[in-house]
Amino acid sequence: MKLIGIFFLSLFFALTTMKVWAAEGGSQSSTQKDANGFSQQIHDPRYTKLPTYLIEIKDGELIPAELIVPAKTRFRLVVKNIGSKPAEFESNQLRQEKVLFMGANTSLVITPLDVGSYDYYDDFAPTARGKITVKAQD
Amino acid sequence: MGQIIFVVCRESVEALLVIGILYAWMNGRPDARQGKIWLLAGILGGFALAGLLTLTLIGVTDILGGAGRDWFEIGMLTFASALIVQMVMWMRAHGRTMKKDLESGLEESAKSSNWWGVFFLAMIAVGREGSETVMFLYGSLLQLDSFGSYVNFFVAAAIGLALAMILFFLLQIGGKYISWKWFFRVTETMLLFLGSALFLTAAGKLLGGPLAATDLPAWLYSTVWDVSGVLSDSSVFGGLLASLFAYRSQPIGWDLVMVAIYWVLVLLVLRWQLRGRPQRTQRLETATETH
Repeated sequence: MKLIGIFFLSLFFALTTMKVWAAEGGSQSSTQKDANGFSQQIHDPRYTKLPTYLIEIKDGELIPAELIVPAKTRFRLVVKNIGSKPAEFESNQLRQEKVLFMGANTSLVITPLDVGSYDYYDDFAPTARGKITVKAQD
Repeated sequence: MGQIIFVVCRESVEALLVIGILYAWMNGRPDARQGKIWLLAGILGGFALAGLLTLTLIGVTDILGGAGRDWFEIGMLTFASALIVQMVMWMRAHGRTMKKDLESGLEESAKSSNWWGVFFLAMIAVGREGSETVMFLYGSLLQLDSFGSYVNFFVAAAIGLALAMILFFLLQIGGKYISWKWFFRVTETMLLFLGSALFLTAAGKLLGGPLAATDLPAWLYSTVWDVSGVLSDSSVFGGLLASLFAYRSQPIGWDLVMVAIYWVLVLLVLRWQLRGRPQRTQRLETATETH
């Protein structure tokens, strides 16, 4: 009886911790800001060396539409196309263009940027404009 | 529907501009007819290339892989810009004597090797821009369900292409009302600028791709000036200037170094060509004298 009780209790804890992990994994996005006003980084086991941010494209909509990153720091952008049509992530100012089929994702390394603002958009539906704001750290 | 028109028109305009410049540049030449066949062959080759590139984009095949694709694009762009410079040089050297040579029945096959430049340029222009269009159209095609939506789709694609063709013909008409001598000089300069734009795009891909993880001196990364408030290269006009003249509204040190390298190389090569010519004729003269 006691053993069964311990078993269920441990199962309960295991499941709740797993649920928390799952929630953390699911809520990974760069739409939130951290305490210093920078965009939230995502944690992807594939990309651990550089600060990593996530941009999702959904039929021309950019999520998030503004990304705030520290100046003079190399970072990584993971771009996912979650829409129902192909997308092309493009930014002339960042010298990037990447075509993404539905469901495709890619990762780009952005070289250190000066303070300023740099735009990005879906070149197949360029009505929505995204902006990377680069601000000094501290 | 509007989106399909927009994408087809916008993507084909860039390729059509390259073809338009090549076409106008050949038009006044005595052997333009032969060149146009090469141009057409290049366009057809471009469609084949676009199809192949699309397969890698949608993940049917992954012959190249992510890094391989980067290198392939960098190589293609650098090759294209080198071709442009080579073509301009060739025309400068042979443009004057070409008509005479052709009339006197000199062998044409010897010259045909130089049309490869036209062929490859057209192929690269169509292949690069085309692959994106093909993938977009293919993706949109997959979303269609009813007969009406299919009709809409093909009508929209045709309208987009027609709009781009109108722009192409406007460019050709523009060429007709200008004196040829002046037009040659303009198209020649435009070709050289186009070469600089391709070279800078290649350099940008090199920095953002294979060199992205390498630490280069900080000044190469820092913005030299920022005129994006006046004319952003993400606007329609700014984007056109970027793809034809290597315009950048927020250039970094790397961009300026690369553009400088391109122009220094081009001017050196052209100067070397000008200097080489009188020497060669002189040498010929001395050779005939001794005989």
